[in-house]
Amino acid sequence: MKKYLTIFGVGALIAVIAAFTFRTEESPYRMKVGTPEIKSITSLAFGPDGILFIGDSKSASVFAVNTKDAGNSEAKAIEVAGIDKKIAGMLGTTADNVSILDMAVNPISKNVYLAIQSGDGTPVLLRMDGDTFSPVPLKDVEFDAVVLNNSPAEDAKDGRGRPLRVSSISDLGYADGKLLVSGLSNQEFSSTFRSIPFPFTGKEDYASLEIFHAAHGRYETTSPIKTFTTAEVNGKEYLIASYTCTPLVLFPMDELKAGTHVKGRTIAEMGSGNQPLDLVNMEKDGKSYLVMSNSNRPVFRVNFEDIESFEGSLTEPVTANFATDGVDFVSMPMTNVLQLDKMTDDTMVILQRKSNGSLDLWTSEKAEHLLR
Amino acid sequence: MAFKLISIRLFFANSLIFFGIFLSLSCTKEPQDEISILWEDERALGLILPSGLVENPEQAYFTIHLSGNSDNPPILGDLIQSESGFLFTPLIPLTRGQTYEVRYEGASIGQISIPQLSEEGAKLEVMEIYPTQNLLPENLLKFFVKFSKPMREGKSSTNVFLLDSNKDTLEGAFLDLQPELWNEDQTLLTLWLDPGRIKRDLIPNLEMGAPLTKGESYNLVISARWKGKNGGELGQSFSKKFTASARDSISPEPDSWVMDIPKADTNAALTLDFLEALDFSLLTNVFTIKNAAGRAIQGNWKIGIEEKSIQFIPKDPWSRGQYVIEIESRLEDLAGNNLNRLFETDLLNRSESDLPSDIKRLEFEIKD
Repeated sequence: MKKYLTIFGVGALIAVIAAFTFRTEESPYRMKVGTPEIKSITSLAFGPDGILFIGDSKSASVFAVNTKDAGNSEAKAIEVAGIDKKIAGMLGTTADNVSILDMAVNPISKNVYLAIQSGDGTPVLLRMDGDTFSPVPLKDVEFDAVVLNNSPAEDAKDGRGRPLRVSSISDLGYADGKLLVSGLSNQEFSSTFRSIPFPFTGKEDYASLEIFHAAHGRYETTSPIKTFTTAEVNGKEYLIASYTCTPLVLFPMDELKAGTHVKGRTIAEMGSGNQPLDLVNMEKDGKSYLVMSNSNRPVFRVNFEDIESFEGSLTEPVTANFATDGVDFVSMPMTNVLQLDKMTDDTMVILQRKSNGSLDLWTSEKAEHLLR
Repeated sequence: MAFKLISIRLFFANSLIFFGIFLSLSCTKEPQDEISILWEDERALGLILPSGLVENPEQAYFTIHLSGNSDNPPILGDLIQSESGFLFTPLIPLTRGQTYEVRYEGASIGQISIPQLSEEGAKLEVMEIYPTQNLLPENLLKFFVKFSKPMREGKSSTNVFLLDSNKDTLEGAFLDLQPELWNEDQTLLTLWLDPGRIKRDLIPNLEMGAPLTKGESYNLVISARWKGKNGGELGQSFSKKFTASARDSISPEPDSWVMDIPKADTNAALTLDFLEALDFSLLTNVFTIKNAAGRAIQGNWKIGIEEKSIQFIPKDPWSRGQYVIEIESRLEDLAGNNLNRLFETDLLNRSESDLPSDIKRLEFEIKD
C-alpha cells in the first residue's frame, strides 16, 4: 500500500511539475494556433524572437509564424555545393523543378531558411540543419496574418469579370516593432511601401506610401522599390531603398507616415541593364558597409562613411560616360549572387551560381577581403 | 478575423476530404499489394502503400526515394497509416516521368513510375498577346501574354525575346522582375519594357537608349520550351510582329471619346470608342455606369477590337434618363500615361491643365 502511495505521490508531483513547466504560455504577439493558408512563399524576413514573416504574393498577405527557433546559437560555417540538386533530391524531383525564391537567416539561432517553389507552384519552407534540410512546420503553428491588398471595391463591382490586377511583394523587413513591406502591381508602375505595426492590430492603421524620386532634377518619376534595408546614418534611422530603375535612395524613417508622399534623396545610380536583388548592412572592424547584390553586376559595397558624408542629392544631369554617379561604391569580386543575407554583423550568407554552373550556398567568414 | 477562421476551417475540411478520399480508396478496393498513385487534378499527390508490401510493417521503417541511385536521400513528406496500408504525401507532388522506390529498413521493396502527361493534357498555347494591334508607340510600357493553362513562374527571362528586324535579340528590353507578375491562376503574365530605359535621362536610358525606336519593326517571341505548371511544354514558339510608331506623350482624354448610345427598353450595348488603344489590364476594372439616382447599373463590360473601345451590355433593359460613366483616373494608355498625368512628368515644362481627380465623369442620356 505504501508502495502505491509513493508511486501516486511521485506521479502527482510529476503532474504538478509538468503542469507548471509545460503550461501553454500566452503568445507575446497575440498569435493564434492554427494552419495558415499560405498560397506562395515569395519573401522571407525575421522579426523578433524567432518570428518569421512570410510574404505571400499570391494571396497578397504577410503571415507571421512563430518558428520557436529562438535559442541563441553561434554562427556555423556553411559550404554546400549544388544546393538546388540537393534540395531537389530531398523533394523527390530534379533541380529544374525547384526554384529558391528567398533566403533569410534567423538572427538569434543563425539558422538559414529557404523559400522553395516547385515547378507546379507548390511552396515549401525549408530550414538548414547542418548539411541537410528539414521542412519548417506550417500546420498547427502560432501565427497571424495581415492582408495587404484588401481593396474590396475592386471585386465588389459587378460585371467586370475577374480583376486583372496583380500585386506582388518585392521585399520584407522588420525594424523597431514594424513590419516593412514594399510591393508593386501590374497596373501602376509605382511603389507602395507599407509600415505595419507588429504585433498586428487587426486594424488598417498602417502607413501606405508612394515614393517619388526626382531623376536629375528634370523628370519626376514613380518607380517600384525592389529591395531595401534600414540603417542609421548620422545618428538617424533611414530606409535605404534600391529601385528597379537602379537609383539608391535614402528616406528618413520618421517621415514615413500614413498618407504622405515622401521625396527621397538619391545617393547613387547603379547603372543600366541591371536589377538590385538584395541589400544588407554589415559591420567589420568598426566600419559599416552597405552590400548590394545585382542581377547583372557584381556585388557592390558602399562605405557608410561615404553615405554619411554625401550631403547632396543627384539633381544635376549625369555627364561623363554615363557611369554610375553619387556615393562611391566598390565592386566586390563576386558575380551571379542570387540571394544575400546577413548571418552576423560581419558574415554574409551567399547563394551564388558559380562559373561551373553549380548553385552553391556559402558563408563569407573565410572571404575576409570582402569587407575590408 | 471571421475570414481567417473560415480559411482555417476550410483548410481543415480540405484535409478531411483528402483523408476521406484516401480512406474510401483503401476501403472500396480489394486488398492489393501493388503500390498505387493518389491523383488530384492530374497531379500525383501521393503514394498508397498497401499493408501487404511487408509483413507486420512498422511505419518508421518506410522511406521513399527517387529511383536510380542507392544514395538518393529519403523524400521529405508525411506518412500516415490506415487499416489497409499507408499513404505517403511528399512536400511537393511527384514528378511525371520519374520513378520512385519504396524502401523498408533501407532495402528496396517496390517501385512505381509516374506516367508522362497525355498528349491532350500536355497541350499548351499562347492565346493572345496584348496590346493586340501591330502599331505600338515607341514608349510602349507593357505586354500581357495570355496562356491556355497555368505556366511555370520565374522563367520569362529565358523564354521571352524581343527581336529586331535583323532577327537579333535585343538584350535588356524587359524588366527582370522576381517574382514575376502573374495573375492568380498563372495564365496571364505582365511584362514591363524596362521603364528605366523608357524614361528619358535616367542612366539606363542614356546608356542603352529606349528599347523601341520609331519606324523599326520587331518580333516578340515566346519560346516553344516554356513549360506549364503541369510539366507540358508549349511545343511551338509564338510570336507577335509589330512596328514602333511615334512617342505617345498625351494623356487619354475621355471628353474626346465617341459614344454610341443605345435605345431605351433594349439591352443594346453602350459603346465607348477611345480612338486609341488603352491598357488591357485596366480596361475591365475602371468603368462604372450610374443612373440619375446614383445607383450603379449591373451588366457586363467587353473590350473591343485592338483595345480601342469598350462595350457595356446591361443586365436589365435601359430606362430613359440621365446616366454618368465614372472612369477611374488610373486608366492608362499603352505608354503608361493616365488620365491625370503623363508617365514621366517634365518638371521644367509641367502642363497644369486639369486638376487631378480620382474619377473622371462622362454623361449621357437615353432618350427613346
